[in-house]
Amino acid sequence: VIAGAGIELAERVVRAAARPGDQGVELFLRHIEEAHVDLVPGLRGAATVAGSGLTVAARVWRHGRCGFAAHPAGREEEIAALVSEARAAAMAGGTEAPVPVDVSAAAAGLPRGAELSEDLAHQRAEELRAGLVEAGLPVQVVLLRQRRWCDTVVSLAGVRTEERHTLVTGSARCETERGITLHVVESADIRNGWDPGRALRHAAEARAVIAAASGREPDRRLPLVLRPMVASHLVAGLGWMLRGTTAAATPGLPRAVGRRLFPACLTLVDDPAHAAATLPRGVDGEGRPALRLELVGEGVLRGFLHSTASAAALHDRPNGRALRAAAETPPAPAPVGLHVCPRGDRAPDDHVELTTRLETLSTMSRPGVMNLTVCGWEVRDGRRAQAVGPFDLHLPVLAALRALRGVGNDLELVFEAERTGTPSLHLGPEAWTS
Amino acid sequence: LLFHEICGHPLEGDIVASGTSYLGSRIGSRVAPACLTLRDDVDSPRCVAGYELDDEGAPPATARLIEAGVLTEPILDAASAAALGRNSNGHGRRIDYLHGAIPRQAHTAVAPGAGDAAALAAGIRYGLLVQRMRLRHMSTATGEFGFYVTEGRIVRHGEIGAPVRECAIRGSGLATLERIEAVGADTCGFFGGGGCNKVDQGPLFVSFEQPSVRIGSLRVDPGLR
Repeated sequence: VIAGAGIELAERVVRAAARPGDQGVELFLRHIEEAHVDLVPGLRGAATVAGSGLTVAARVWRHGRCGFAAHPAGREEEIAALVSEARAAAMAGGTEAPVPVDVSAAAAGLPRGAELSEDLAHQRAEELRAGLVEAGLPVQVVLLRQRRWCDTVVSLAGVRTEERHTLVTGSARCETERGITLHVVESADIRNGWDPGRALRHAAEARAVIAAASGREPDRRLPLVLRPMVASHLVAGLGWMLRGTTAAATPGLPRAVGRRLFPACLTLVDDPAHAAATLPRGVDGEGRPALRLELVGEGVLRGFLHSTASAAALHDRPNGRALRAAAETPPAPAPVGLHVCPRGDRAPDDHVELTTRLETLSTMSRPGVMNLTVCGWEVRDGRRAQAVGPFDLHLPVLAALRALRGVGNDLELVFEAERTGTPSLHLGPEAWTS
Repeated sequence: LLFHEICGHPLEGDIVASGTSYLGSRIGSRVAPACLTLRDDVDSPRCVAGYELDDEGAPPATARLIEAGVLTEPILDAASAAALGRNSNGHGRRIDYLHGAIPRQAHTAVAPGAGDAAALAAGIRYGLLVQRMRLRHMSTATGEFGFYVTEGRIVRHGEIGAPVRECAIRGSGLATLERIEAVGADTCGFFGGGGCNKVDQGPLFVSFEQPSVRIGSLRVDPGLR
């Protein structure tokens, strides 16, 4: 029903389904094709599953309240029924969310994504497994996920956007004698641009430090150097704190806009066109253009990631970060290309260098506090003297980044940390006790 | 949740067959005192998300994970059963049409013993009553685990006392099983609200039933909050 005709269909349904008293009607359609390979080396086999589907989400505003409904759908009348369901939800109380207004009328779609390939998916999964085994890691499972989807947003307010994406993600879970390591490769095309080199380099690094590690505690009088695989989780934590929804629940943050919260070496940008991004976006889930945002500029807090609703809560302007984690969920603020700008500062001669994170189910044990299990090296006179860890590292996000002393030039996009980009971060010894 | 994590996942057939389960090579051996019996029992009246056929069309049988302290059998779908030379016990589950069936737990149940939390606390000089917790980490290869304790109380001289601030417990699966001292009769059913997310396939709704269990010692880390 939808392929190639999503916008026209959605416009027709929105016009036909609108009723007097509706302040706004919005339809979001996600048509997705997927082909997955699960490789379990212990079973000496792989499972391949492929399929496609359409999920539609409707929002209707009445009397200042917003109703939401979402379902898989196939026929036009099912989509129209969804609008009625959302209207009923609004009339039953709904949520407080303003109608998106002043939204761009249209946004150009990105080129149609690359074709999926089950054969190549098998090959890529096997290559990743073999590379990790060669690096010395015991691979428990490799998951290769290919997704190609088209997001369409149409509203009574004049939004009319369609955007296509392809994303291939290979992730491997390795069970080592010291804990679990996770290694992820991402690409926008399974044929071109698929490069497991970064993941395999980190796998070898993890193997080396785990083999050398004896559980030794680090010298907490030394400064810290967080390599990208560890630093990215701290930066992702800051990204979470700078979502409009988090800021609205943390009154101190909005009051700090325009003030220097961090040392001047920290500049944090959310840029959907970042060169290393595998998931570029032109518009968000409300149809608003997703432009480059400077969230922290030379240590000064500039602002937050916003959807229409979170911006209204903070009397701010929406900035194109209303994303839908899944088609069945309403849009909420999230970053699209978060990264710390590299500088090339030199690390101190003596420091604790953290290179590897062992997998835990959550990285933020309490709001605003990162809790990581890490290993690395004690570095003396610029040389790795001995391995340290695994040990627990507790870093309150804001306090730890106030201890930032320098930023390296080794910017890396870390898929294992929500696609967060960061170079090495150099923290003063006060970060240990922050 | 403790037994779902430290016994259930390491006894899922794909993990056992992969050779990366700390319990895999111990099937048939005693790993806990005779007071511990643990099953994955879809037929239990406390099972929240039961099923009559698994997602490969097989009827579910109770998976007898630990019988009177002896590690007995894994949780199996067709593929892992074939790899291990066993028959499926009907635990092949798919999260949706885009994922293949893999061995999953449904309702992890500890068989009741005698007494309740207060009775089990009697005789404890200094201890911790854990009432609510959430997973921090679990390694199926080593059995090392950690949980955040979000609700708990201090036990002093057998008396359950004041609430504790959020802390964490951690330990090794084998040592923890060995240190089980008693199993109560105050069985409660629990619904795993966040679901199970094994290999990125979640949330699969699962449930548990368990009486109070006394464990001789675990590392409590007040700094891990």
